[in-house]
Amino acid sequence: MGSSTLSIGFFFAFMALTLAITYWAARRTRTTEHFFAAGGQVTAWQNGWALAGDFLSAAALLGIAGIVTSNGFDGMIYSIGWLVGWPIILFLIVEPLRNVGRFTFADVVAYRLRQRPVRVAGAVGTLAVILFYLIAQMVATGSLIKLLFGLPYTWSVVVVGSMMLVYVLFGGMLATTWVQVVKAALLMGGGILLAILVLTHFDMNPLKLFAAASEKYGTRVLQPGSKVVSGQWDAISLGLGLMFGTAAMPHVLMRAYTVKDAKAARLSILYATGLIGVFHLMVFIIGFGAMVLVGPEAVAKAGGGGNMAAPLLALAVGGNAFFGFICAVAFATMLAVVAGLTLSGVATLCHDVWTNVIRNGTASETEQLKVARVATVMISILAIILGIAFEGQNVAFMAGLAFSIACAANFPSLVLAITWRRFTTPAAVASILVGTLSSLVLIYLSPTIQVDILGKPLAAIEHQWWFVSLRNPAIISMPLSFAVAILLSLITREKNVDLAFDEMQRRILLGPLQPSTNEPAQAKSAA
Amino acid sequence: MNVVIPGNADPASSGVSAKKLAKKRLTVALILSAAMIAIYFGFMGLFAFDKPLLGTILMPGLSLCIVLGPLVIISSFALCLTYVLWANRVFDAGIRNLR
Repeated sequence: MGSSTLSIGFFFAFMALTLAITYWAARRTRTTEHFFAAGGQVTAWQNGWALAGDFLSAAALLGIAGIVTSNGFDGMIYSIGWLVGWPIILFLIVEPLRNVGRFTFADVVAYRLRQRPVRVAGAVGTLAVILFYLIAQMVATGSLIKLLFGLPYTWSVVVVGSMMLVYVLFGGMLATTWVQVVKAALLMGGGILLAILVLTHFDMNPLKLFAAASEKYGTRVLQPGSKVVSGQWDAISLGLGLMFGTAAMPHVLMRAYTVKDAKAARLSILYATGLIGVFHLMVFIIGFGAMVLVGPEAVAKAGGGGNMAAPLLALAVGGNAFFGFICAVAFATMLAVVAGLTLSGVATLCHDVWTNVIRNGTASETEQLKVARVATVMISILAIILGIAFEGQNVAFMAGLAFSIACAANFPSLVLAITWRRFTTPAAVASILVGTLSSLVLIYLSPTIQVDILGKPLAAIEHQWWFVSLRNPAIISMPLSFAVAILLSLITREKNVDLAFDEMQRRILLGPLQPSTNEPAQAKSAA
Repeated sequence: MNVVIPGNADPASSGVSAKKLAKKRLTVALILSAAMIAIYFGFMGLFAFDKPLLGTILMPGLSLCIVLGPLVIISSFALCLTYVLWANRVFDAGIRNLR
């Protein structure tokens, strides 16, 4: 790889910049409010970029470009699914979340219910999502860095794990936010430039690109196929998981707390939706560009399951320097996503489990910060160990599983807690646990684990009574979680339900401050 | 943006209008969510159950799914924009009056 000096140059430039940011942020991170929410002082525009940075993983660029290169249109099914959850966050979730909660989504679910059981259940749901997503990211990162930079797998995982540890441990949310902003700017810039360079070969007309692709590989590349998503109900189930899973991803929801009020949170979701939408349209062009200008055969030959489509396209249309740049952007992308995930896991362990369950809400600031830092080290080490342990394993399903759990465990309880007066503690706990467990069990009994991982022949198991043909559990686990929540709410009673619900609705509307106060939402971080 | 107009309405009537405002917001949010869900699952329904229709070639280089897919993305943003414009104008003004 002749350009590896260049890509390593970009790579070190990114490391130096983000470490400088972390040093700057570390001096401003004194309280838990800073550590978990950047003191609530991030602007809507910055948070929009940071949300895009948090959410767009390497899969969004490399993975989808690869799927489009080999299958054509079908890659877009994932792009669309990852976007349509954002309006749901905006309409139903972000403003109540910002006005009622402090650091985690369990703040909102537990607000008018019994703290301990709800927070324990919330932590189970959140940590399951984060653990599976983090493993999927670490393994993908290790093998991609090996492919892009030639660094051995174990070292790649250790480098990524250590960098995310440094960002989160010293710089907290402030450093993580700026790492996301820098990464998102690089990713958007690189993606748009790459798409434009592709289109210069086709008179700037995407239709000419698609026509060239269908001339070369048949009209099937412009039509929906069944290789990427097989099964009719599986497609619907995948859609459910992507839409409502996105709307309940803990690391995304946590960003609502970094801005000063509900209005800024609302605006930041709008900006993020625009950025992510534009990016996905670019990736579609990039995938078709790689199909026509590089060829699916050459991409497949490069290894990495199609992930090399975008970098090879960069090499073809922009030369060595651009190839190095896109590799470095992919690296920055992976690093930023795992940092965001780690921070939301730390928030759950420290704020939900330690402060509100173990210490009953009475831990001092110093103690909470200490616990947060210990939790950061623990999660980082765990991520590195698991990343190394799963080397070469097929863990792609874990990302989908994370979305399914978020959709079935977190989304129903969050929406019901915000909107339904009758919702009770047993209902919240059961719905989160049922959502988590049913997703796990269903995926275990599906071909994803039984055939792809355990290697059993499909014919031998498809007539077993326990066999589940769906690869995506959301279509069963999400309604199940809602049903359990509604049923238990109807047969159990919460104390002072009317008073607590009305108080919460008032807070959803007006925010944490007293309505009569003359000082707007400011100076909160001074506490 | 951050200016708080000191409200002098008595608490009882502000409680009623707060409830009204909350209900209005929820209605708008639910209508827009329903629209998003209908658009997305309309598209996914075609993808799952009527692939030939979605694969109709309209002209060289353009099929129905290549029109509709980006349209789902654009309509997501359009719905978000609709909500934000409504909230900034109507909802935020209502909140200011409450305070």
